[in-house]
Amino acid sequence: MKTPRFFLGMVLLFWGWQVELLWIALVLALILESARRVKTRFELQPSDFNKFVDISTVLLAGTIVVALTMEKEKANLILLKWLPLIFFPIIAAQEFSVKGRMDIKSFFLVARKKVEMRFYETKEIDVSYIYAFFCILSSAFANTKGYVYFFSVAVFFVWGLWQIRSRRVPLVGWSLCMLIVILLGYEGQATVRKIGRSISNRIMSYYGRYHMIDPFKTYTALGEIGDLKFSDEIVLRVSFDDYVPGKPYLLHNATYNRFASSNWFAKYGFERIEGKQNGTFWQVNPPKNNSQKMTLYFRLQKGKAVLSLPPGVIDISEMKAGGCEKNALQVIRIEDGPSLIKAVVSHTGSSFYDALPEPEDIFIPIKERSFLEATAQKLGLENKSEEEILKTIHTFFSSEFTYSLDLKGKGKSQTPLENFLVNTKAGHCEFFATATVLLLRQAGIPARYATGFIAHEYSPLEGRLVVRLRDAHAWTKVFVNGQWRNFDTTPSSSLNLDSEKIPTSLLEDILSFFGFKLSQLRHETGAKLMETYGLWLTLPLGLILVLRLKKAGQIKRIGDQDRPAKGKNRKEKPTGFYRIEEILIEKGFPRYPHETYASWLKRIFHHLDDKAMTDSLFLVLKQHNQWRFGKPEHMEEQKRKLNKGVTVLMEKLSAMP
Amino acid sequence: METSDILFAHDLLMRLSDNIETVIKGQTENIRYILAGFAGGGHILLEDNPGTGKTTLAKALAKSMDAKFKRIQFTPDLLPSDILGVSIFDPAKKEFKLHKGPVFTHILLADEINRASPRTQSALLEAMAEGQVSIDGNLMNLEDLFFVIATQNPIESRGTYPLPESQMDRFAMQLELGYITKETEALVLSEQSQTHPIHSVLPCMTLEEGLKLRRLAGEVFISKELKDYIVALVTATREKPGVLLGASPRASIALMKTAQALALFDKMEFVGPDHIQQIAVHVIAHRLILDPRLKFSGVSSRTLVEEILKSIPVPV
Repeated sequence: MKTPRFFLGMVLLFWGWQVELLWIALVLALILESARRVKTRFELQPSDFNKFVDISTVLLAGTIVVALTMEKEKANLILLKWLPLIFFPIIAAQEFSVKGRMDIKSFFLVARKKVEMRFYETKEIDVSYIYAFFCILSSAFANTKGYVYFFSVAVFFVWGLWQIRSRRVPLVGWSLCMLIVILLGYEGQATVRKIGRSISNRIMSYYGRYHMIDPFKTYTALGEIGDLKFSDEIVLRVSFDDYVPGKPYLLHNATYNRFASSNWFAKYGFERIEGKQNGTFWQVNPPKNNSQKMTLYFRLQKGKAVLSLPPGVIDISEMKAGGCEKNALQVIRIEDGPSLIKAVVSHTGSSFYDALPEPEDIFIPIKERSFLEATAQKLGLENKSEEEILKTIHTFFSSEFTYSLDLKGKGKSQTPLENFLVNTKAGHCEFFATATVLLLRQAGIPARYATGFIAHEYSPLEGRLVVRLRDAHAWTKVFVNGQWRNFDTTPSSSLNLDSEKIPTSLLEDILSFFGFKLSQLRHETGAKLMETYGLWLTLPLGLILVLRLKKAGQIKRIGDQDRPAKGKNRKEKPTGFYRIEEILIEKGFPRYPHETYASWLKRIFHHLDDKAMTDSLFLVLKQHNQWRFGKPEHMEEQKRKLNKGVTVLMEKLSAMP
Repeated sequence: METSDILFAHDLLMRLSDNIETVIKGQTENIRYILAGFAGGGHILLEDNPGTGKTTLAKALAKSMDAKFKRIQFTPDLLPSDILGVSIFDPAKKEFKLHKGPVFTHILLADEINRASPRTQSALLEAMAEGQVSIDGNLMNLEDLFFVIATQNPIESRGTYPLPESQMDRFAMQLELGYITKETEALVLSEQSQTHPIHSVLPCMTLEEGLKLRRLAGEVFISKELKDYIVALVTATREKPGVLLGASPRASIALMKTAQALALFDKMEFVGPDHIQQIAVHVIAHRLILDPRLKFSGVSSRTLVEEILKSIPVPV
């Protein structure tokens, strides 16, 4: 089952065009297509084919290694893109071999051994169609999203099948079938895509309950963090240079300053930070002396992340990212990068770079004003100094409120916040933080709402702080004495309560650590190794290749004339019964290679349904056999007689439907 | 080879075939092969279940020829000397006198050959391959026309000894008669209600005619290409996985000779590829020894040869 002429070449060019490797594709296509012109062939034994399959395997392994170490992301896509090149040795070996087919065993190491064993038939296949399939699959890498890909594939599909179509089916029927298949295929892929999208939406909405769906959104609703509390997945790994055991660290994600109908909003635009040193160093704020350093490991979600950082970030180094942005509230977010991100952060530890207070920062929504005024009056905040207010509020929350993850009903209160402040007096950090912000604003102190994580759990296994999803936290940023500072009124008992609520699983932690180490190896150590020793790593692979090729070089080369001729030069000029065979095959009666003409005719003469025709066919066959297998006397005369009979018969046959 | 020779051979074979068919019904194809085997100078082994007409067929063939015919019923206690002959001391003349065994004949029917022990079976080795026997150290030639037709029950039957491979190889063909159709069987019943038709068979070929037929069969032309095809078929059995013992070059020779004889049946002066394909299974299959594991997986020698036939492109 050879592919039609130029088919493989065109498929390769299509691949080259789609993945933008046109030059490589052109060379490959020329090599493959030249196989039809060049008469030289190589006599390849099954073991030689094994070698070519080995070369491809080594190439595949090499590509996997390089893709994993160099390209971090999308390793599978890189692999997909290069498939035609990787499998090229196999197809080339087949095309230039005398046999033109490959033993299927070559593809399976286990089966190769069984060559020695008995009972295993040799099954030879033509891999060219399979190769074409891989090329088309690989072209999908480009993901052009237009109609070009689908219709090109459809064209190749029709082209490839044209040659092996059943000649018995009329052309119209065949074209109609192909059209239906193509239309069904188009509908099918559209449906599959639709289904895929809806499934992914489902998954995302489910997943979103535990993960922030969009790290870049500019608002947060009360209760969002509460949901995060139900997972003990480790999301951050942190180590501080000046780590004090037992001290909880607040890692800031985002700050919001506008509160409306139970949602916090931030309306600050982001500005790009230019990356230095190959996009690994990011100057966030002006350089400053006596900074402290901390290291952070986390993963990107959908290629994005908002960094969880200590206050007063000066710069971030060793962080590979495609882009980094910050806003005036010191929210720093990044895009694109390896799946595991390392960041070394130098920070001041205390002083903030947040934008100075604005009217927005003392604004209280009308709905919340009444009960806030009442609470403020009860606490007598009006006449106190700023420090005293902070102290009072802190005491107020720690003495009268309890931390709870179970939210009770709204009761008669108008807003959830009122419910928390007046009725239940129990809630989680978001309520504490929101209430604190609004109480402070009521007392005339600018305050903002901050979300992030609280790092408090030292993992002896990893030797650093681990932050789980349930450590998500919300707190207050307050502006006193001319600068911003963190102010957390959530009772510290919350940390213990959270741990009780969601017990950690040691096994999961170990697995998570293992995964982390693997990623670290891949992105840090691996990348470093590849940078320094990358070329040396490919050396052994190259050596193996050279050795294989050297062995393969001992393959016997056979010119056109040395090849065993089939029949009496049948290819040259079909004479005798061969001409009739051609016509009958054309009409849809193929002959197996093991069938003699007589048994073939006996098999098909029912279909011919013409007694006279069958008789004359057998008569001509007799003459043919006389010419082919009889004594080599009077050859010319026999041939002349035969050809006369054949010509007459041919006319009759051609007239047949 | 003249056209008259071909006509003579064809005519003779047809006559023989018709004659045998008066006794054995519904076995036209097998009779054709048996006669081709005879004309090709080989020996025939008929294997099938008891009662399928093996012996009757063999007897009918023997009776159709005007030649010496001996029959040996193989039994477990049969000895080689029972086949070849034995020297017995004659007290009157005071010397050993050779009593020739049944092997000294033209047509030998070895009935149920696998009932005898391999020791006795082997007595026929030399006779079948070389047309001579050694008795008491004396080499003795057999008749010019020496034809063994043996019958045997399937080797799985009780009380049988499988023939040694070397013995199997001596047979040009092994044929299975198989059961005839219901209609034919009913016909056989009505024919044999009074008397067995075998008694009324008359010879229709003389010894000289038999010898000439064999000579003519050897003169049938076979092209180089078809010889190559025969060799390809036979050597393929040696390379086939799961075959412990493939077919010998003797198989190639037998295949060629039988195909030549078969061509005479079709009134042709040359062998065609169809002749080879028709008898390939019968000539090759019985010589193969398969790995028991292959047998257990349901492959028989016959199916294996059929598979080989399908895997090798035939010259057309």
